[in-house]
Amino acid sequence: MARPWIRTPALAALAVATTGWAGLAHACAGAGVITRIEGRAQDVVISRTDGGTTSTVTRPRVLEVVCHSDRITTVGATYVVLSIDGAGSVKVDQHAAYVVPAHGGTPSVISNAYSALNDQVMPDMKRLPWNVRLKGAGDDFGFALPSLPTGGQELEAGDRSLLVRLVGGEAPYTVQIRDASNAVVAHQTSPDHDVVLPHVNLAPGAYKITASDSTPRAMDATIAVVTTPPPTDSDFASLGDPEIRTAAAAATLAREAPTPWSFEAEQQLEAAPANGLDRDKVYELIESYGTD
Amino acid sequence: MNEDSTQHPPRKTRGFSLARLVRERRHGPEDPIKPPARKTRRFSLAQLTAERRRAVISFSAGLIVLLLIQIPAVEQSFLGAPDRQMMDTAFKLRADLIRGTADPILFIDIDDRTISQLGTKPGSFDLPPATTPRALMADLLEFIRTAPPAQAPRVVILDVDIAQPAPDGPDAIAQLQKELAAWATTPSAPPLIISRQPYPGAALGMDTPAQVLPTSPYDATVQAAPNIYWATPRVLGDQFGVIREFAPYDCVLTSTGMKPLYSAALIAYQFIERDPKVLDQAAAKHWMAEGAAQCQNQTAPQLRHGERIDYHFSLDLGFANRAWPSLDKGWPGAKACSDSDSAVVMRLSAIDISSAFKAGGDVSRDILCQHVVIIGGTNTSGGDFVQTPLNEMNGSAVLANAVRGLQLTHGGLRPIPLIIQILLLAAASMAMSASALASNRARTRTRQLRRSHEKHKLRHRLEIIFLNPVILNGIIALTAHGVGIVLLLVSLNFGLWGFVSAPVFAAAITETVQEFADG
Repeated sequence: MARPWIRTPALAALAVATTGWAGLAHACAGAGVITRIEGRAQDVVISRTDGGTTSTVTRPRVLEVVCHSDRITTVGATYVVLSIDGAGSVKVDQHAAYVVPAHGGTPSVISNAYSALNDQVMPDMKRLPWNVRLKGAGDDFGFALPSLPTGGQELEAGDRSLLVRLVGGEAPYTVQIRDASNAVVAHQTSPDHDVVLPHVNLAPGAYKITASDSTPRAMDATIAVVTTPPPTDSDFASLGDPEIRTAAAAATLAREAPTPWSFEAEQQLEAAPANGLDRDKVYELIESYGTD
Repeated sequence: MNEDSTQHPPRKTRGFSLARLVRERRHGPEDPIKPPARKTRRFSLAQLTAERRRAVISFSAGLIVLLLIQIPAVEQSFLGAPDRQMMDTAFKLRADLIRGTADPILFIDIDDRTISQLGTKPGSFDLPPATTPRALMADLLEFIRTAPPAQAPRVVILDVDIAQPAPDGPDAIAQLQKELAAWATTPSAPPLIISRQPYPGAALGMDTPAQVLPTSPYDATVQAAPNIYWATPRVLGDQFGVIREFAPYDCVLTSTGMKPLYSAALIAYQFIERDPKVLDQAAAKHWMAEGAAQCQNQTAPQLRHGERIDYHFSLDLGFANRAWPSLDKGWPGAKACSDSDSAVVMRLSAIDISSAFKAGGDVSRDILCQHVVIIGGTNTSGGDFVQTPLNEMNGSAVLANAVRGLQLTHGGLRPIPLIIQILLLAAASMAMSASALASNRARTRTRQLRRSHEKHKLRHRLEIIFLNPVILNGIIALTAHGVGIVLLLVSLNFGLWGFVSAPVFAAAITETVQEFADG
């Protein structure tokens, strides 16, 4: 009877595994699958590198496995939706190629021993990444707009830039916007707390905003995109400076209807032309409404 | 008693000594300052006798613990803690490193995303469905059943109790019934094992001490099907609730009488083991005969000890932190399934498969090819999470470890012969005796130092600390614990394990107590 596991000496296997080789023996190891191809399958191009050789997967099918470091592009109007472990649903179209991220956390005896040691000495902290264990989680990480994670905020539909303001945490910060089908419609990484996502095409429906920092910690907020515009106030029409005018209108909107329009108010101010106003003060004012 | 030359009064020296003259003629003149070194034996006969007595008593104490710990109830108590810890460390060190030639796992995960998409109002504050929608299960099973035979999985385990109330109504139940009937009549369909939850008789208002398997809308279809099996997903934990074993069977009362409800892992192993000889000799196979014999009447006791789980891969929450090893090239399915994922485990969200399949078109079945497919749920509604030696794990992930572990170990983990365990204990006991003899003089000096009231130098203080029998024997016991972990790292690959740590600790404690008692 063939018993390869006996032929391979266990100690040698462990020694080899120490280098992490076991996880890299094959380039295609469980990154995810294609869940949807909208358009022609032949317009989806997957470039795969295995052992220094690059090949192209032609006419991929739905539920075809995609590998770590695969480069996926599409041609014309065709787009493809992927389900990637750790990254969720990812939509790839002709505008930008998607490179499946390399898998972190390759197992080895060393990393396992470190983890086992942590279980012994810091059992309550074993779920936290090592940098958080050593440094501590730092100050509280959250959305600057307190009502954002509790829900109820609305935005007017359209192609617009989105400002998501964060507090605390460790830079860099990443914000992802997902639609109701959980597909990523926009994502942006920023070194500071104000993360701007340019040209987000928002159709009516529910969207989820996920913000994360480098420790990593993550949090979600849900917003509803609606076709109904927010109420406008004509009292400030006489103000000459468009930035001041918009700031006054936005602050009034947030004061009179913090839910559901505080987030929309911040977006209005973000869209206004800059003319020297200390916007942070206005944002803080907007964020202060509705917190009592 | 040990003698120390430094403690003797100075010798009287004469101006002339015949003996000294003879020595000088043989070896030249002596150093007039340094007195000649006295020949001393390292151990006296009395010391050897005393140490032998201590060693026999210490070994006997260890042996008693070793024999007691063979009883599952004792092993699961505090006495088994050192060996459990040893096994846990070995599991942790080899986690996600063991490839083997066992079949890979495809985990179709009914996760929170899946459940949220199947709720009444996704994106709202409405509660998600309490149980898995039956229509989803029917879709997943149809996707698997309609795979070309060359890409069919080895076995499918549905780790969801379908007897629970369906959240999506009678139409969905009918859809699942139809799919199960189709499964039963499809010759190329792989074996399907469905988890069922037995309940105490009292929970169903029945006056019986037996566990009862409630009826389900699918009973008639499953009982008539040649390739569908009910199974128990029950697992067993230690005193801290850490899951280490699975129940090989449950004796359950059904509408047709008492029956053994075998473990999903055990049934699956019988289908995936490729070598009939290995299957015939599998250590775990005895449970099948035992289950049939035990489950004859309603007073059959519930098992408190089962089959050990060979944890060899982790499935952490979120699945974002691990890369599983690639399959061994010796995996028998490697040639036929070259387009499949190469990792020993793959997890896919059930909603992705269901949506892709329902959308129609050209759908790949490569992901199924000769895999063990487990359909289970990490969703919060199910709350199916348990503590394991590796980490907090979903119940389906424990099942995956159990099934693949059985195949990797060729039929289950087996204890190494008792005589080898006794020899290991004897070796540790001898090491303790040898240490006691070797350090006897130093220990005597340490005792003297400890009793003196003078201020000690740092070296003396360290001597007092490190030559303490508690420390020395403790170091030997911990070394045995470490050696045990290393031995397990090797032996687990051959499906073998044994007790070392608790018996050695018992011997070390006994040895230490005796040393203190002997002064």
